[in-house]
Amino acid sequence: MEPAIDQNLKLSDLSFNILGIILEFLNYREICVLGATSKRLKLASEMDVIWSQSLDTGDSGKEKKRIFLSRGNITQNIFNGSYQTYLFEGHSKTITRITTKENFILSASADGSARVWDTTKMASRVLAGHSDAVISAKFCGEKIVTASTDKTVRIWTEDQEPKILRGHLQGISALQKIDEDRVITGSYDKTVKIWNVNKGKCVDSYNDHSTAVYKIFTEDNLFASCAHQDSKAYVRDMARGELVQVFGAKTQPQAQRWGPPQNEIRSLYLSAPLFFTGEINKIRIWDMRSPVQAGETQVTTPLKNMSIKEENTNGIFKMIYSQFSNLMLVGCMGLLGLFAFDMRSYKKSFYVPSHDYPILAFDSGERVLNNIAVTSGTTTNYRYELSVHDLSSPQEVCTKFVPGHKAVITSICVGEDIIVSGSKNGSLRGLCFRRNRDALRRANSGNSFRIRSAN
Amino acid sequence: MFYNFNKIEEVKIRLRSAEGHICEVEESAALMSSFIRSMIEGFNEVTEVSLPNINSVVIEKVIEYMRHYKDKDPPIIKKPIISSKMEENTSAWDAGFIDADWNMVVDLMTAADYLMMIPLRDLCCAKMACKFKGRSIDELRAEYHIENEFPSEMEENLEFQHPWRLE
Repeated sequence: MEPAIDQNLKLSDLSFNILGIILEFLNYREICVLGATSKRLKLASEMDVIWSQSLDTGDSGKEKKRIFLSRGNITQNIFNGSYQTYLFEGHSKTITRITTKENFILSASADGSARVWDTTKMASRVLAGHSDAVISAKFCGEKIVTASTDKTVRIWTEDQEPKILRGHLQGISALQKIDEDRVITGSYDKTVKIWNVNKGKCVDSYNDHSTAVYKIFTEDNLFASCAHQDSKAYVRDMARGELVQVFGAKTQPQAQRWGPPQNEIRSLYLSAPLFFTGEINKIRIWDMRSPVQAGETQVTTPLKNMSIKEENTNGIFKMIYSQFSNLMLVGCMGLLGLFAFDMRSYKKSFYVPSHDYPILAFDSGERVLNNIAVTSGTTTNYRYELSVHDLSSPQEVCTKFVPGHKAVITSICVGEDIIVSGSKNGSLRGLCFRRNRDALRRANSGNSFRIRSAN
Repeated sequence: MFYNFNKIEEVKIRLRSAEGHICEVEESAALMSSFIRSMIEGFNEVTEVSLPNINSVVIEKVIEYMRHYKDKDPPIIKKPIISSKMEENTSAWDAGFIDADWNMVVDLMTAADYLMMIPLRDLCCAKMACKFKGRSIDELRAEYHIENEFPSEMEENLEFQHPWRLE
């Protein structure tokens, strides 16, 4: 028998091939812990093979590990309640839409302005000029695009005057970004228009709808649109400009002659080859490859129907698919919290009535923070709160934050490490969960910052 | 001669260990190892394989595994493992077989890698992963005598990088 060899020697003598197999038997969190013990194990924990099953975006194992760790830090901060607050002062009316990009926050408001806030330089810029409410604002490459009910789209660059795009005959109701140089708008004049941001002109215009366009959803080369009081949704291919299909369930004869049809479409979600439409309390899933029967112009039989059986449901306003946990998250008027369908069984997964009054907004993060969902609601003593769901165990954990708004929260945006909420009286507040402890230590937890911009 | 005709004895493969000790194993069992298979199939009537870097205790253990899975496939261990107890990750026989100390597991794993027996190698790796599962960084360092190789500023860097460092 050879003498017993020191274990230390053995562990570090193992080849990368073997270490890779050992690490494959552990989950991502344990891989990271083991990777922090020595240099050799750190290198082993960054191998591409180990992270190949991970859904995170990123080319190399190293990048995927970094995203995993920073997400862990942020969720840890969320549940420990260590965050900094930001107060963005300037808007005077309802916040309609918030978007984030890196450390910038873009808010659109009914007071006719959009504002950009820089959280690192503590600076802001006012994009004023619209004569009516700005309904949405988007980052589009280096530029910013705003759309308003004053019938115009404006493109803002670093220092020049905005370029005003006219073409819609009525106010704009929906704005979505297609890629770095195209945006799409829907309007009360029943048309959908595609604009080239760099050239500053209208590229395409479609008039499928017979009523005012309500919502638009884009994905890659496809866009879907639906209209007010209409039970049909149109999906078009932008590359070829042709209609892919019209989707809509058969309308039942109605008891009353007025009002919207029973299966009026309230929200859309596209994930090729599937297409989701949300109605008052029902989600229909359509297969975009399904053939049309002879003599018909639209597909009337959905692949699946999912209904919300809770009481007082009054229209699904937002649907987000979470790849992280394979759930379809639903924000529905009249419900007191987040509702989710399990996309394996097409059945209800959970419903957490976390607020005392119905929810008005909900959002789920995209890249780094894709494992949380945030809903806004009101308590019985009229405090306006946000509740955060961890999607890895959505039924149990539910942390609540009170950002300090004096009116109902109308929009939420989950950025990379910040949750921004805007309220009906124009106040805008952010909760910032630093990605690393170092930054949190430098600027202590609980600190609050104030960025003020001109009125 | 005549008497032996009806019961042909199966060919035995002789494995020579590092100490020069010889262990015998039936050919059908030994074929589980791709290394031995290639040795036997490459040369006619080779019945002795020399394994100069595996000691006889480990060879006996490998032969025990070969004999048990002579006629059936070993169970596949699911990735990632669900528990730090081997009994919950794989079959009872496998868990009992691999229930050995750290040095033995490492030796067995090295031998399995050399002999190209993938199921046995995976079983050893899973056993090692079990030992790492659910441990904190400091526990792992103390247990496996890992020196802290990172310079102190790097250590601080690790601290904020790793959300579960201070748990």
